[in-house]
Amino acid sequence: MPELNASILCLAQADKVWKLLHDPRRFPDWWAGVARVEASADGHVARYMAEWPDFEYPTRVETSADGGRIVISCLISDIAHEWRLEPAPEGCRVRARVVIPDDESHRAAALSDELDASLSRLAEVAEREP
Amino acid sequence: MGDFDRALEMAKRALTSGRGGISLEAMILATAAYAASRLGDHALALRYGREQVSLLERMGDPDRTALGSFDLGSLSFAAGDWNGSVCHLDRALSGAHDRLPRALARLRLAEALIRSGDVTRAGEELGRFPFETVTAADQPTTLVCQLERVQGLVAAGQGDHVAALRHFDEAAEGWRQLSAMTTGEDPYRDAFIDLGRPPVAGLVELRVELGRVLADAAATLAELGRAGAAREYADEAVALGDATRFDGYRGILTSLEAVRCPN
Repeated sequence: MPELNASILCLAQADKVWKLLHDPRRFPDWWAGVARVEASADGHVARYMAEWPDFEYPTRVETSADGGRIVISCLISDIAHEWRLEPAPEGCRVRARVVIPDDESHRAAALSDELDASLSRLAEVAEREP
Repeated sequence: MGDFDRALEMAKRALTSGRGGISLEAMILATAAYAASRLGDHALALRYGREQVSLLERMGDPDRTALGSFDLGSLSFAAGDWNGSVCHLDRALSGAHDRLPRALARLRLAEALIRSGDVTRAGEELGRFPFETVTAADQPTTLVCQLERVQGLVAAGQGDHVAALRHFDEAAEGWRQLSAMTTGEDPYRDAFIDLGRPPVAGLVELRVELGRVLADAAATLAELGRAGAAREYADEAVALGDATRFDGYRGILTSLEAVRCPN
């Protein structure tokens, strides 16, 4: 399966980035293309993209015991975004990995752009948090 | 289900039956400690908690002993023994124990440090929190709200009451939203599966946590001289404490009485 990997150094304290990653209500603040998020009755999260504002993307948000990752998976496409924080003297480093199923490999370039934009925005929002 | 009296009674009966071996006995002690703590009988809860740790040490299983120390730290925390809580939670977090809810333990340690007056070290523990492993036993959907509240306590400890109130309000809003959601999640079941035993005082109850953060916010508002707002928060906190039969923040509730009935 194709994979994308990217990282960014964030000058904010790690707890600020952690909250943005772990609070689905904050996804629209930093995730490129996400317009709004709702909690579903079954415990999953529903993402609504700006491009298709009425179409629900059911999403699973999971934490992984393997190295403190948070994994956010689209239940329609099975595309999984994994986020991990590492300590850095200036703040923290955010590492992201996107695992793309073969059926969705044609979207790799668009997903790469989305990932870069989201990482930059995540760092920017975290650095601006009071 | 919330029937802690019945849970304690059944656990006591199981303990006196003496059947099932040392491993099962440790689990029953964990259940009994949780129920006793939740009912406000902290002396009994701590006795069961210590017995559990002693049994786990005899079993020679470092992972389960670390869990026992986490339980004991949580029981001490519920009893208001902040220094004891710091000591046990430090011990639990000292090794790389996979089954320990490390993120939850780190947050609880930070709060115990604040309550014991060591705001500087509490801030350091919060700095370690984002790099901890998070598992189902940490009840991950609740961690953002818990982090907000502890950040609020650190801010209040540093004298930044405005930041403290912002964190408390964020936390309260989060607890309200979580309470309003009807999800398939069951924190008790998830923690039980993940830990392989009852979650003891580590279990997070949404309405109890909402009451806790409202009590903290009321105390901060009272310090700022905003008596009307403090009273509103305090009244809701007290009502939640009554509804959940939770007396775990006795000290805060005592201070809330002053807010509710000013001289």
